[in-house]
Amino acid sequence: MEELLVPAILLSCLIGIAFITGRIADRLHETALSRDEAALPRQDISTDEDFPGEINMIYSQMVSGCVVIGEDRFRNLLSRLRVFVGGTLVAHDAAIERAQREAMLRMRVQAKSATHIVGVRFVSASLGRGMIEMAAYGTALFTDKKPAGGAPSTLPKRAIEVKRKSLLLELFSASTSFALLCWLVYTASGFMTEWATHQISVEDEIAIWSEVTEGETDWPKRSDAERYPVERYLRDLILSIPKEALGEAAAYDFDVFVIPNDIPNAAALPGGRILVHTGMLDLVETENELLAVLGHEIGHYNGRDHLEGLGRSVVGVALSAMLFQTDAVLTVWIAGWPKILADLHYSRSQELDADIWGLDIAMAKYGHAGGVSGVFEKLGYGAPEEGVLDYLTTHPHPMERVRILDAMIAKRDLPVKDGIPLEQAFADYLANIE
Amino acid sequence: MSTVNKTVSGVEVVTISNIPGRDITENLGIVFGSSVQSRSFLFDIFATFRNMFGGEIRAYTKLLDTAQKEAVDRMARQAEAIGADAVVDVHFSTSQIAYKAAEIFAYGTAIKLK
Repeated sequence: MEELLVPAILLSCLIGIAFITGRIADRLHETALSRDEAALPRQDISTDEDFPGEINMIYSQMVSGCVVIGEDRFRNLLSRLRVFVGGTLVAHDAAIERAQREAMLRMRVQAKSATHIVGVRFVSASLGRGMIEMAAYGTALFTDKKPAGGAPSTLPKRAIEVKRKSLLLELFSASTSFALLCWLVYTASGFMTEWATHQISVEDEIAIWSEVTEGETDWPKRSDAERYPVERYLRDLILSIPKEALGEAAAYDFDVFVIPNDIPNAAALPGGRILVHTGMLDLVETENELLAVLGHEIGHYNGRDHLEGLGRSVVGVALSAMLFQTDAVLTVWIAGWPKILADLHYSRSQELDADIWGLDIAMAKYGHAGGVSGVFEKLGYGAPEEGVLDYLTTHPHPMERVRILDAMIAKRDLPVKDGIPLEQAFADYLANIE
Repeated sequence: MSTVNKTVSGVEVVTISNIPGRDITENLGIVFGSSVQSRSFLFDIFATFRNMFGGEIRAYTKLLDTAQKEAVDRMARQAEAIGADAVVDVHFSTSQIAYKAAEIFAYGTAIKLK
């Protein structure tokens, strides 16, 4: 999370500063424009190409004026959010209008003594994205009269102030719709990948994964001699589960890796590789509890949950690339998020489903449900207090899982017996293989 | 879109240099209106596919239409605010401010009629 926090703060600072400097620049330009427009004489300006008949011409001359106004980072953010969700971009409205007035002003400055400027046209260039370019050109007519003094030929204030949403209101509405849209896409991508992952057979998954990881993995297929005794024991424990209890996951060629890490945890990687932290081995006391943990991971393989996380992150990265393709800092920041979201483990229902698989697998192996909920109870002691936050995070609280598992055991009327102590089970295993 | 528009504000907008059958009494100068519109990224994805195989991209046609109407509307409101009866000799121009957004601006000469 930290790697996303620092850029987020820097970006917010940049955008915050840009908001202030941008509004100051807007105000200064507005004031300067009104002042300069008021200083000009009244001229007859028209887009008409016809020559006004009633004047005595001396000479005519082409005049032009142009201006380029930069957008600030704040308005840039506004327009990006708005382009993503669709609708009217109000961020640049005021600036476009000022650009037009400035271009016309600069054109008129070239012909202060002309009474008419006819055939006026405006064009816009595309120097760079976000920049507002405007060029005005026309034909100034110099006649035997001087331009009428007095009334300044500027637009009255009420004509300039077209109905305009305030920029902060626009920020609120655009970012709300943006968040909503992202949530929708994220949810939809979850359903889509869930469907897609169930279309991939276990064999294909193993084949694809070995292609992907080839060359960079330090986990080649190992023989028993290459495994630590604990890893051999864990793998043989999985192999000793009756095949019919494994469901679809029976097709995997499971391998278990023990990772030196004090945090009690286990993970299912694509291709049937299960990681178990040493902290988890320290926590469990009986073989039954250990099997419940392994059974839970096997349950994830049955739900193909490990692929779903991958699918979501692919969708997320594709989306962020589409949205922020031209901006290095923002892209890196945004692209970090899908990974974080995918790393939020699995959804609550996926975890609870996997727990049920763990229970069924323990039943198939031992014929009783002893120790299945015990391991989560132990995990629960180290976990923070149960609370409202649990319903916001995707991971169910261990105590909630204990409750659900115990309720399931009671409902099915499953026998509960004492488990085999882990040390004894491991010693028996070592004696057997020697 | 027709060349003669009766806009919401009641100001007549034409692309020719006079209102046929009426006399111009005063030139009030240039009025201007702009609009930047975009469609959501879902339409953008759809449009990318359409662009691959051909055919009208209706989502973008509608986008351009909305932008054009809004630009004219803003121009007409400005004309109304300075007391004009009509806007003659209207021209359009386009630009690209943001990626995948349509910017159109309209300008013309605001006039008073007899």
